[in-house]
Formats: sequence, structure tokens, C-alpha cells
Amino acid sequence: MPTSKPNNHNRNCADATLECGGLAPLCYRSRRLEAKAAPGRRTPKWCLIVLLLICSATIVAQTRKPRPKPQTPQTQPTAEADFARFVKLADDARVAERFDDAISLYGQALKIKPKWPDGWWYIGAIFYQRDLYPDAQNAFQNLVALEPERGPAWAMLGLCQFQTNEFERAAISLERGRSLGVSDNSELANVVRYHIALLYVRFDYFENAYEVLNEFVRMGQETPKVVEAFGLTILRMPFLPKEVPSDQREKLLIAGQAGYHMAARRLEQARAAFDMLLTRYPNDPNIHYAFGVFMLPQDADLAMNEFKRELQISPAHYAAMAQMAFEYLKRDQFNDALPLAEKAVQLAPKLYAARNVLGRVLLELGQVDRSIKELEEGVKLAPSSPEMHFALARAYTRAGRKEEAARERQTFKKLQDEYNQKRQLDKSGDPPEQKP
Amino acid sequence: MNGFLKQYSLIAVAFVLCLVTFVIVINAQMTAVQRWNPRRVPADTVFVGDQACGECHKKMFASHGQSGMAMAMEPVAGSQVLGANPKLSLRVGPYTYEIKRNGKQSTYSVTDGNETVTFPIVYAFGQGKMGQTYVLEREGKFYESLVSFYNEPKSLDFTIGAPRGVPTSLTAAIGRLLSPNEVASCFSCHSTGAVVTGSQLRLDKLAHGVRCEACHGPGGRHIAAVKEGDTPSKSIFNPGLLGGDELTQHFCASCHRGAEEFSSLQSLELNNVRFQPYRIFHSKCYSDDRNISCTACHNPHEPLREEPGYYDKRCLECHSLRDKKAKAGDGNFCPVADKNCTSCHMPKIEMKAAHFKFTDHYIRIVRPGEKYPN
Repeated sequence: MPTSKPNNHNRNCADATLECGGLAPLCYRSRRLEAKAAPGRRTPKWCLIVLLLICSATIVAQTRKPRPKPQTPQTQPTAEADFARFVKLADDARVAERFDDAISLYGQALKIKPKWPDGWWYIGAIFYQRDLYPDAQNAFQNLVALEPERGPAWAMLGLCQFQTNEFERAAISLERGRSLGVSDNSELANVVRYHIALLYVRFDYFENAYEVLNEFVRMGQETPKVVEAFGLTILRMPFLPKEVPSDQREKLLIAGQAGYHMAARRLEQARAAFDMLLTRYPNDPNIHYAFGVFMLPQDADLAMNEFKRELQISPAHYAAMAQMAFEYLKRDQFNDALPLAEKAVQLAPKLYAARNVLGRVLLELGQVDRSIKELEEGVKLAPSSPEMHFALARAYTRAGRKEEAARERQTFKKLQDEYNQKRQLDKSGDPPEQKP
Repeated sequence: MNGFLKQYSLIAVAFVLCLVTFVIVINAQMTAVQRWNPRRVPADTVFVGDQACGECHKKMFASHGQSGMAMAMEPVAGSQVLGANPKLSLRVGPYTYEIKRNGKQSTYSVTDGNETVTFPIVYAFGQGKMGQTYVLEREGKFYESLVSFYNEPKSLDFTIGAPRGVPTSLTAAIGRLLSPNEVASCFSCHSTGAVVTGSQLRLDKLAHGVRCEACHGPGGRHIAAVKEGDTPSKSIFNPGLLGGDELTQHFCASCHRGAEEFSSLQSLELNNVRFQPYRIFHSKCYSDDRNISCTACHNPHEPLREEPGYYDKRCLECHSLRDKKAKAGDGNFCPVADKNCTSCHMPKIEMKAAHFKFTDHYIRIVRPGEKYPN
């Protein structure tokens, strides 16, 4: 995040990348330059900006479209010549790290050709790096209006919105950037991923945050920032890292280690971190729940006891209720599962997992119509969740609604194929299979 | 004319009565014992044992006894694999593995040259057609043996999924410590009656392999109903009445792994060729139709049929022969052959780690050189 200041640059590079809000190679390269430069001759901030622009230029080059041809009176020969002159001067100023001049000159060029996408990119990137987020946001807003399919532009817009605390908008822009593709620039992709995870945390979507953070695990990026984000997720603290009270930080970091190890399937290390959490904070909320989730695939009985303990500490813990309901469902104890699933839905009507388990329990109890209603609601809440479609297909089959069942099965297949393709792309970082 | 109408009416009434009776019988069967899941055995379940089933169902009892499912776990005393291979050994780095037969007992030992650990083999998983893995027990903890017997080379090799390197210690060389869930998972699919309410073990009740009651549920009520002259079908679960998708993706898949469970697995390698419900789910012709369910092709009461021609009649329930419908562009028509459909459309995939070729249940037109579709 742009709270990043020069004195932060002696940190772990990948971590700094995340904090710089977008432009990882900048931080990395700036550290190298810093090491080479004589003290005081060039500040890391300057290095950052230089590299930002190099990076920006790279991104622009990757996504550049032909510059618009002259179409209006502005593009008459004189205007065209002026435009070319301003662009040249702006580029020179940028390369020479005269950023105030560069902003002014790009601004002049954009006055002549307001539909010049690369101009908005350059000027937005410079504003962003100088922590002028509203100005940067305007620039990227103009850019996405001109090129709505340009993923990195949406990503940068989302990062600006994040900095101006427009979190809902930021989430939409970042997700859009991600879906359009920012992976040509892996550093930007990482920053986007990190901020999306933080937003999920802030919006209480901890499971989604965990999924997104898992991508860092697959890439082996065990950085302090990622661990901290895992901590927020594990402890279900809907805060940004900077908002965490200082007396909670130790707990947060231990939980983060536990979460990271859990995601990386380092079971012994995860268990050790959880044991430390349970010893130090036995009555704090969410810890028994998190430990229960960790133990569920290994020892379901122990996990169930942890969920029960969590409900003693946090009686409205809907996630613990949903987990218990799922486990009871697995054991065919539908009458035990039902009240928990119903309560979870009542407490968290937007939690698709609660709808999922309630729908499945109702189906097993023969309440097919009610089951379908819950599962349809779950599909609305999580249209990209394969298991929701799978469960709904089963319910439709049970109701004799064959065409709808076939449709849901097809959707499940499609989503699963997409998921598998994504996993194959990430596969190099996958931990080894544990099941025989 | 009147006589004709009367006769016609009688036939219609008889037909309606038959239909109503059929619906009532089917409904009664479904409402009697609607639910059974081989891996969700309630704590109070009492199994009568398959000898009791065999008293009436003699033929099925005999043929099922020869099936792969019935032999999913071998009693060590009568183990064909261990009996036929009385001394097996393997060296991995400094570790030497030895499986030795002594009368009706077998032992699994590992030594690093200085120290030796020996376990009596109590649980032998697998019929030996592909291979056999051993679950070892010590002080209440269960380990999956690091090495398994494989039938094709008739020797030991790493167990599927085990790390194929030199173990870091003698303890690690024994095998993988199994979590309670994993232990329950192993025993609930390879034996009958050993696991209840999810993960509680009761090994004293274990019957080796997948026996009658693993799929049909406890038979006590059924036997009592027969003795009392009641409708026996009401008192036992019949998976044969399940819909195609319910049977394949939920019932059989509870052990053979279906499409939904696969989502949670990590492997995208061709290891998944072992999970037939998952594979068939991806076939273009997969649906809720029972003609494409597991039991459409496989009779669970009999040993697996290996000859490709045996399955042709199943394919031909939907597809046409060339001479019957020689029309190009007909989706149901195979332009290449009239028989042995599975040999092309369900190719055998070699899984080197298993020393075995599995039939890929993803039914498809296989293109030369194509990548294994996950």
C-alpha cells in the first residue's frame, strides 16, 4: 500500500511489494538500486518511482492499443504536432524522474487528446505512486471508460479506491481486474490478490479470504504480510492490518502462522501453532473454531468438541453451527444437523455454506421443496460454487425435475473444469498429495 | 361389439390394477428402508453376517464371495497374497523391508542395519489383483505401510501416494501415521461393520471385505420378516431402487469417489483414473439414467468381467450398430467398429505407481496423442 515509505524498503521484498500497493518490481529493483547508490544521492522513493514508470511502461506496452487516429479538429496538423511534442517532453520528464513536469506535460497532451489511454495510465501511475489517490483514481476511471477490458487498469483503479476507503467499489474493481487478467504482471497480480483477501476479511467473508490467500501458499510466498492476513482470516477479525489493536498482534501472528501452515498442509507445524494459541488464549473467540476446522479432516470427533466449545464462548457463531451441521449430515444424524443449519441460516442468511448444509439436510429428511428453495438461494449467493450446483442437481433429481438437474450438473462440470484448469496453472506450487 | 368393449375394459382395468400394485410395491420398498450409506453406519447397528444372508441367497452369496469387493480386505491367516509370496523384501537407501510368512501369520519389518522394527500384519488391504497394502497397529496408533505388494512385478514398492524417497528415520520408514478419520475411511470401505458414526472404530466387529450388509444395511429385520411371512423387501435396503445419479455419485461413490469429492482432492495427475464415479461423470452420455449408472454394467454380486465384449450390450442399449443404422453423422453410430466398444472408448490407463492399468471410465472418443483429460 502506498503507506510504503522509503524507510520500509529494507524489509522482505515480496512483502514490500504487497505494501507498495501494486508495483512489486519497483520495490525489489529499488532495493537493488539503493544498495548501489551512494547514500543521499537518490532516495528509495525516487528509485521506486523510476521503476514504477519502467514497470508501467512495460504494462502499457503489453496492453497498448494503437493510439487513436486524429478525428476531431483537435487533431489538425498543429494540434497533432503539439500532442506529439507534449508526449515526447512528458516521456523525457518521466524518464528523468521530473515527475511534476511529467504530470503537467501528460496533462497538456491529454487536453489535446482526452481519449489517449496510455496518457491516463502514465499520469494515474505517477499520481498513485505519489500517494495522490483521488487524482490517480480519476485517471484510472477515465482509462477504464476508454478501455473497459483492460485488466491492469481496473486493478489500479481498485487499489486507488482501496486507499480512499471506498471498499465496496474497490472490491468490484479489483475482482474485475482479476477476472480480465493481470497475470501478465505477476507482481501486480499478487498485490491485487492480497488486497482482495483483505477486503474479503473486512466484509466478513473469511472463507473466501482463506481461498484467495491459499494462492500465495501455492506459490510459496510466506511473507509477513500474507501471514498477517491469514491471522485476520483465522481469527475472523474484520479489520485491515493497520486497524488491529496492538494488544492483539501477538495472537494475530500466531494465528497467521497456524493458518499458513494449515493451508500448506504442514500439519505438525500448524498443530504446534494452534496448541500455542489454545494455551495462551483458551477463552478467546474463534480459536476453538479455527482449530476445529483444522482438525476436521483428521479427527472429526475432536473437531466437533472444539466447535461445541466455540459455541459456549460465542453462542452466535454461525460458522461453527454450519460446520457441525455438515458433520452431522455426514453421519446421517439429520435431526441433530437440522436445528444447527436452520440457526446458521437465520444468523447469516447471506452465508451460502449455511444454505448449502440446510438444503442438503432437508433433502435427506425428505423435505424436497424446502431443500430446493434453500439450495437455489445458495446458488444465487454463490453462483460459482461447484458444490452448490451439485447439491441442487441432486435435489432437482429427487423432485423429478430432470432437465433442471441436468442443467445444474452441466454447470457443476463447467465450474469444476475451470477450477481444475486454474489448479493446473498453479500446480507447480501445489503441496504433494496426502491421500493415498 | 358390446363383448369386445367389455373385454377391452377388463384388460384396461387389469392393466391399471397392475400398475397401481407395481407403484405401491415400489413405493413400499422405498419407504420401508429408504436410506443406507455404507460409510454412515449408526452406532447401534447390529450386523447378522453374510452367512445368514447366504442361507437363502445361496447363488449370490457364492458369487459375491469371489468378487473384488468381497476381497477388499484379506484375512491374514488365509491370505492368498501373503501365502503365495512368503518372503518379500525391498531395499530403500539404508532401509531394508521384509514381509515374512510364518505359518498363518505374517510380519512386516524394517531395519536400518542397527535397529529393526517388526509388526505383525493384522490388516491386509486389497485383494491382490493390483496389490496389497498393510495397515499396522501399535499402541492404538495405525500406520499405512510405506511399501506395498504389487501383483504385476510380484514384489514390494512404495505405496501409492507415499513419498518415493529415502525415509528420514526408521519411524518414518515404517509408514504414514494415519489420522482417526483416515483409519475410519480405510476400514469403512475395505471391511464391514468396523466403523460407526463417522469415525468410531469397533474392530472386534470387523468382517473382511465389502459384505452383503455393507451395501444393504443390517439384515436382522429382513430375516425376521422372512420368518414371520412379512414382505421381506420392506425390511432391507435395496440400492437397485436408487436413481442412476444417486447410485453412482452418492452410493457407490461413497467409497469409489465421485465428482463432488474429487473437488477436494489435490491430485490432478492420472491417479484419478481410479475414481470411476468421478471419471464417468464427465462422459458426454452421463445422466441420471440408470443405463449409465455403475450397476448398468457391473453386477456387484459377481466378480468383475474383464472381456470388453461383455459390455457391448450395455453400449448398444443407446448406440446403434453400423449395419443397423449406417448413416454418417448420426451421433449414436460408431463408424469404426461393432464390438468391444470399451477397448477404444474406455482405454486402459497405466498408472506406473500402481503397476497396473485401470479402465478409464470417462467414456469418450479418444484422439491419438491427446493428453489425459482430468
